[in-house]
Amino acid sequence: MLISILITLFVASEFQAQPQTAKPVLNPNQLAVEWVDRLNALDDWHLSVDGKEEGVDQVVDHMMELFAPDVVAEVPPHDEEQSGPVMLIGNGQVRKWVDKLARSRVQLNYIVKRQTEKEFEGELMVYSKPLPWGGLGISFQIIAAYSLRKDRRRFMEPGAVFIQYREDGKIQRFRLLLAEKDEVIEINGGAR
Amino acid sequence: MNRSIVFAVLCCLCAALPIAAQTAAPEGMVLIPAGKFWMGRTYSFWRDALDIEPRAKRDDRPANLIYLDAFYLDKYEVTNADYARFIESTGARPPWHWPQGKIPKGEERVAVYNVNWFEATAFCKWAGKRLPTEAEWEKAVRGGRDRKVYAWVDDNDPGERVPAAINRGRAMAVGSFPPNGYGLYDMIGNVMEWTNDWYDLNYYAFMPKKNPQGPETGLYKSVRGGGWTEGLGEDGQLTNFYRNFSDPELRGLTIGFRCAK
Repeated sequence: MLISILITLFVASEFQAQPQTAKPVLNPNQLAVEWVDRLNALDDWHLSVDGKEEGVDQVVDHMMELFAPDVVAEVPPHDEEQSGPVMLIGNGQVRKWVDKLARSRVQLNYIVKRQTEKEFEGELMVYSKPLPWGGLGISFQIIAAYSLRKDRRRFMEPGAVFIQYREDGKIQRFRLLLAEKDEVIEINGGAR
Repeated sequence: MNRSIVFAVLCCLCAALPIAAQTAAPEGMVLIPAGKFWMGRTYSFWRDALDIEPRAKRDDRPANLIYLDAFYLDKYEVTNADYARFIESTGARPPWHWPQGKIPKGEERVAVYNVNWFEATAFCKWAGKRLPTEAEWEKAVRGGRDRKVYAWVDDNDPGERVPAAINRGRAMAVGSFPPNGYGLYDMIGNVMEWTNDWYDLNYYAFMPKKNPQGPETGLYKSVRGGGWTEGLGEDGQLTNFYRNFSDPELRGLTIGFRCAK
């Protein structure tokens, strides 16, 4: 009788110790694809008949849902009159960066690198590591392709993304590296 | 004949006067020409790659290509003698270290210090001037040497004998070392200098590219230029792009100022 009471109390206390909110399952591939999809959606807005930019705030909001309020990010220069890495402290600054991308670049096409053992297409190559302090770190190669809105020149840059997610699925640390910026030209009217 | 010569001379004078009026700097000031320059650090340090300091501290990056209108800047830092005239004219409070409110003996030409940002601003206004913006200060310190680390050499080695009032026990008389490429003295060394801008660690990430005026508000004011306490250390206080900051209420032994117009 005494033993059964103790077992009941023990089980009850274990139940109470469980967190009340379920943590999301952090799937590396899903997280990488979601990040890239929302980034590519930043050009999904239009100009009204009278020239107003409509829908920009919505696509920026959609991207910003991924970030924690105290996110720290490091990104490449975001215009031709900047040099050196850009630190962004807090989601207010990250929002400025995202907003600038949305308004200054079009035809966004960021691609997560895929691979099979001997082919170029196949599995998403997303690397991941559970973080000792909780959450998940992921990294992946990307090919970034975009056109400048002001003159429609198109560029392509290989790069890499390093993201640390908190346990609640929000991005707390973020680093985007881009390299070897090449201008893309059309040959024989081929597709871009 | 004579009348036509006189007429031609008068025409030349009329054409030249406005140009002279535009280019002649007020007494004691230097014209810094309009144009673009790279503001901030255009180099990486080895420690950047090591991640041994918080990346967020890198307030001098990214560098930005900034356009500034032409402006005038004081050739020298404001001296004790200059500040005494301001006190006499306005009844302002003397720096606390002045004995009986008078300039310490023989220190008339020494850069004034122990003045806070509000007092420096009031002085410049009294003189018909203003404090320089942080961008103006950085363009000025470079002396025309764009994208360089130090104001006095074209390469990135400061040399063993830095031509500036550093590693001293106290502030010195202004103009004790050679001027920079614009003819400005003591931009590096002697006292650090108040600027008009609020300080923001991340201002360079999204700063305006034309005549930036600094953040709209803040806790600290930007202070620029290595002072007499600095040495050739790792922290880069003697570089053109090094940023410092201080509470605008504070008075310090190492902070003075100069005015712009």
